[in-house]
Amino acid sequence: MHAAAAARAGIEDAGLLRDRALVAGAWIAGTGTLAVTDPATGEEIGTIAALSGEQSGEAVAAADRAFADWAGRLPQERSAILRRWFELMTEAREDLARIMVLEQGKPLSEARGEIDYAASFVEFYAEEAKRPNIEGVTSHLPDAEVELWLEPAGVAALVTPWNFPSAMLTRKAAAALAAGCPVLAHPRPRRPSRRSRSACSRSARGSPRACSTSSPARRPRSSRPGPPTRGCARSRSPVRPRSGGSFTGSRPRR
Amino acid sequence: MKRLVLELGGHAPVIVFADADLDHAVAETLKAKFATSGQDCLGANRIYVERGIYDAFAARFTEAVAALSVGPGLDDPDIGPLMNARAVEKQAAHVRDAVEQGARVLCGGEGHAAGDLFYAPTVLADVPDTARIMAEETFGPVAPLTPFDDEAEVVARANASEYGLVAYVHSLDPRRIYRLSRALQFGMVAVNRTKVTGAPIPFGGMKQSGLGREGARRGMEEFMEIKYVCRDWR
Repeated sequence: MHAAAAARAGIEDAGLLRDRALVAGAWIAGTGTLAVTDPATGEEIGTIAALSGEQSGEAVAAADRAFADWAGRLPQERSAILRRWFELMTEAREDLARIMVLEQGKPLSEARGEIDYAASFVEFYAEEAKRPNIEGVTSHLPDAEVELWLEPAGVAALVTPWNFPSAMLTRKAAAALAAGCPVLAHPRPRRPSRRSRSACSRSARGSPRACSTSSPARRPRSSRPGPPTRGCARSRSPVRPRSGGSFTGSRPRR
Repeated sequence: MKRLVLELGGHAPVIVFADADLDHAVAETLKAKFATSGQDCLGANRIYVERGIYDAFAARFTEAVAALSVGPGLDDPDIGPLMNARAVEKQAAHVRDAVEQGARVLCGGEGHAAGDLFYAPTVLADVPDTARIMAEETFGPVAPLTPFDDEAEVVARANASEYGLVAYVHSLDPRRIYRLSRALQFGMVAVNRTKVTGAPIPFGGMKQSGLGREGARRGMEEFMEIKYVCRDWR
């Protein structure tokens, strides 16, 4: 984000402002940029990285590589990392809200409310992460023991909309990370939800592969919303053996 | 195969019965329509008011809407800019279509001096069910009102949507509230209030509004698979 725009909005911590994409624990430049404009004024307030298909493929591969490690950690460890993310979001509440106002346009009180709402998902799933639990079933077979285990489904591709840029990301990402799934996040390109990405990256510092990838920001090829795998997970890389998707947005009109 | 969770929007009805607390229903409907400047998948998109209180509701609601402040988000108004020019055009198109079909503009109905992406908070009355705004997501600050005469009729009209995300009901009759809660084909039913979301509840819709739920323990289980293990010790 341009320094002048940030100053005008009263954003104090410039470290929260990012114009790169987080892939495998590193902030990388794309092969191009996308302009971010303030909807209240039309003014360009910054740019974000537009990743190439190849870079998106690298993000998918990195998430795949992170899967075994992340899924194999103790629930308590995943919980602690999520808890730290929640605390960092809460500490940065005012700046994150002001960034959202500039990028998304919503009134400041609503932006503050959304940061609280967004952080509440991270807090909730930090707690829920500790209880994946195994369910015993009374056996219908002689001498047999029956159990149901819940296992992480795989890499989670998350596509989030512009109207709640922070909360729609945390509602999905915190749940997926708590379940043991690495995430690929694809926010709506022109409202990139930098606040969540920043907080996510900070929480990931201790374990760079945890939140292993985020936000390849290439605009979808068609303006119509596509399936959840459009963008980040829909790369030319081979079909992921274990993966899932979560999409929030509108359907194309008939 | 991919496991999927889809949240694909909504077209929320607000149903206000004559036995509701009118002032409360007006205040809550204001929130249900105008939060996030109307750009919310939970946003009220059809407001059904029982005929006996229709005029009173319309008058109080319009007074409240006309008082909403509009401006840049940093000034912390009630209503900020819309997402893009297409969103503004959609407001205008929905208003134009409704008026052509006989609706009356009680306030707003035009752009706003605050800038190109602003639209004036708008109330439309007597909007027919055939109007586009009664079926398509408006995603902006335009509120269509329509009267109804009885419970079965309004339930049928509320359910006559491809969407099924959230429905808002205002009534103080517990039996009616129970009947409506069962009859409405929506993933979430809000009774005498607007704010219902939060991390501990499963957010999601029926019909074309999506697949699966987000939030709550279920939201985590959407990212997990069941493995059944059966073992003998021999």
